[in-house]
Amino acid sequence: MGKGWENMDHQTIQDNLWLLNDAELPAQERQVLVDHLVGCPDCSEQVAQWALEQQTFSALPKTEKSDFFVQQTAERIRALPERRGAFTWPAWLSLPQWSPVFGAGLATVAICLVFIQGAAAVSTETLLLAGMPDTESWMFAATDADSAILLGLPTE
Amino acid sequence: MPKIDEQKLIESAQSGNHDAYTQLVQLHHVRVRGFCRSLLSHTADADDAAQEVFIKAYRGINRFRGEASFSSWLYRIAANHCKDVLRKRMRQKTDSWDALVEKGGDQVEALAATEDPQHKSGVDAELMLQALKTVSADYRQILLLREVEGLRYDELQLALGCSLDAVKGRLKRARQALSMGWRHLSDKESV
Repeated sequence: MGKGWENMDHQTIQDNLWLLNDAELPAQERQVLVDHLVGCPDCSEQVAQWALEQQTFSALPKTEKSDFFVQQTAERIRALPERRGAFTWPAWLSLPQWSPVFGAGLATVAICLVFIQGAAAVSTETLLLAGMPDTESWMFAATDADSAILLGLPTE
Repeated sequence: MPKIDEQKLIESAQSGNHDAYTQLVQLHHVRVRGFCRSLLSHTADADDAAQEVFIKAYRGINRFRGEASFSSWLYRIAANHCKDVLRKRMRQKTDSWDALVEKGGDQVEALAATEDPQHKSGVDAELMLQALKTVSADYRQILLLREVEGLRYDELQLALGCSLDAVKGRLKRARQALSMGWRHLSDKESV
């Protein structure tokens, strides 16, 4: 393998040393850096220094299991006001084969609503004439031609 | 515990099952307490903080969508909570310090300058704890998550809520800062 690291500046190599140390580098780049480490005392020293410090982390005191902690936390959680579970649709509703059925259902409901609204709708005219006596209603409601048609008289 | 079981516990806890959530606490309390302890140093404070983390997580468990692992999600809550605690602590420290200086003047200054004998240990772990105290909370956080908890970069990204490049950059700076603190303390010890 050629010395690929020679094409990189030293800063980039040093940055990548951390990634090498953390096993976060792709295999190909890893090899390039390993090759570099062999010939570079500065970088080797840095890696060695960090490895030493890293070992010390494992010497930090470990946290033990604590049933008391778990019990206390559980008690505090039980004391909280009841929390409702999140609403979730049943899994079968999200199956794609149900989509046309839901679409058709929604369309039917929408059409029904339009019809119901149409039947219940009250026109402005009806509202205006609602309080008037019937004869006067005719006077206001219809033109002469309309009245003739309604009364069965010949029209022009 | 197999992941599928944890998933079931999460779903059960999301629908309001206390016992399922208690089992999740049982599963994760060591790591969360360890993380809080490392960040806050003071054990009692850290356990209080860890308890708050689990309460917050319980309240917000319906917002957990499973994009990250549950532990990463807990770490994120823990990291934010510990930051708040540290900020509060810093404020209180400043307030009480000002009050003390007003009362005691030079005597207080002299008292603060004396070293805590507990910190004069030659043990490496103790030195590391001291070195960790010399770096900022952000750096300490990422170092502990990486070195003690062993989170991968993608997990760090989720736990800290930042980009992969930010993780790489912060980790690098944190290590440099820690190395500097470590060397400084080692030199001091050897004198």
